[in-house]
Amino acid sequence: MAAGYGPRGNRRQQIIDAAITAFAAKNYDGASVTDIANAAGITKRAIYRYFASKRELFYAVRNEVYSTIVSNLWKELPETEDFNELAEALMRNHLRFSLENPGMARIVVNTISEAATRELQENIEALLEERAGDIQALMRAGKEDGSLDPDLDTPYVAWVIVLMFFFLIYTQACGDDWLMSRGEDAASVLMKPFLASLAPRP
Amino acid sequence: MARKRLPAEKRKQSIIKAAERCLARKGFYNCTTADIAAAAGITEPVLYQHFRDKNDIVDSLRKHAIEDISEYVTKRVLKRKDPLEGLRECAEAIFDYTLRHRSTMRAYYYSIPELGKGGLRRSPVERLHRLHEAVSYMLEEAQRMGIAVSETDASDFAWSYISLVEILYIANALGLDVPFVAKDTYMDLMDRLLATVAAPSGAEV
Repeated sequence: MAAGYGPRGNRRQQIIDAAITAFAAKNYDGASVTDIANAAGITKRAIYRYFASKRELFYAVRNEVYSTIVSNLWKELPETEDFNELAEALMRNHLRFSLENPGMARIVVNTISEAATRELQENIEALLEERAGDIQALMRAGKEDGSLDPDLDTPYVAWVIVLMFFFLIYTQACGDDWLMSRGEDAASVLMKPFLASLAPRP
Repeated sequence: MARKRLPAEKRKQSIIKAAERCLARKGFYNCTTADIAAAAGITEPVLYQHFRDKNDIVDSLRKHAIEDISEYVTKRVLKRKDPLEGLRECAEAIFDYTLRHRSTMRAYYYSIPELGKGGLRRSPVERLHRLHEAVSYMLEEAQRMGIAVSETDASDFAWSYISLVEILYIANALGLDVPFVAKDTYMDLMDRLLATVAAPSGAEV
């Protein structure tokens, strides 16, 4: 991969990649800009040409991680309109990706603790709102075909599902070895009973 | 304002309370021991008489928060004889507690990035696992009594139940009001989940 980095364009990406590894290993406080520069094989000065501060670099890292995770979510979804199947597949994709990329999962969890700052909070809310919107669209289709209870509060349930994504990442980042010993199936363990409960009431 | 000399235990409590406010407002990294000392109305050297460092304070904060919520939830659950109603009560109690102690629960979650360090790491996992054991036990109890269907895997169901509970803490930590604006909607989802394991009425042994 490193061979592909040009003098300009990809330099920024190169810094972000090094920063993901450093922040995941040592957390925000522990990873210095010097560590990141060394890992990227460039000088500290060069980093500051792209990012005004360590904080700004962290924001760029977080955005990169979130968008990577999200773009991965919608990959290889089963050819079905069925809401339950799709929702379970999304959760499995999500868990598989975070198990394969524990560094990214850690950064997501770290962003929870950064949510105190209002600016970041709004940023996270906007990111999640988009995801909740995607899930709402799937739910509306499910209500139409009768697999979901039409009485369900669509926006509320969509948020619950988005937050369940967080729960999986959190559990993994905490070092749980019980639920996570199931690997990707852990996603189905969580989702199946919950999704079954959303069916129309008899 | 003359600084009063408080007994050590009281002083520790007041530092923990100050840390809660400070963490909830500033996040983990931006909250320094100097901020905590200032919020507690003491000097840093006094703070260091009671705690080794920020992580030591956070460790106590965690312990304190967990003991407090466990006591509250347990008290409410024990009022229910029916274990399925107990599970419902447990979720409702956690909802009520989180809503009433938003900054405590937020501070608790904000210390998560430091999981990698020493004693802090195990505590959230242990909390999750204890909750899992309690929930599985209650469902098994309901199965023995014939009020829950016996085919359900209690351990798997407990994880699903826990994920629906834990999203409350996570939303709170992220500063999202979403799940808290409609308690009825939340409890309706919990009722739906519990209905999937309830034995059909009239089928009691």
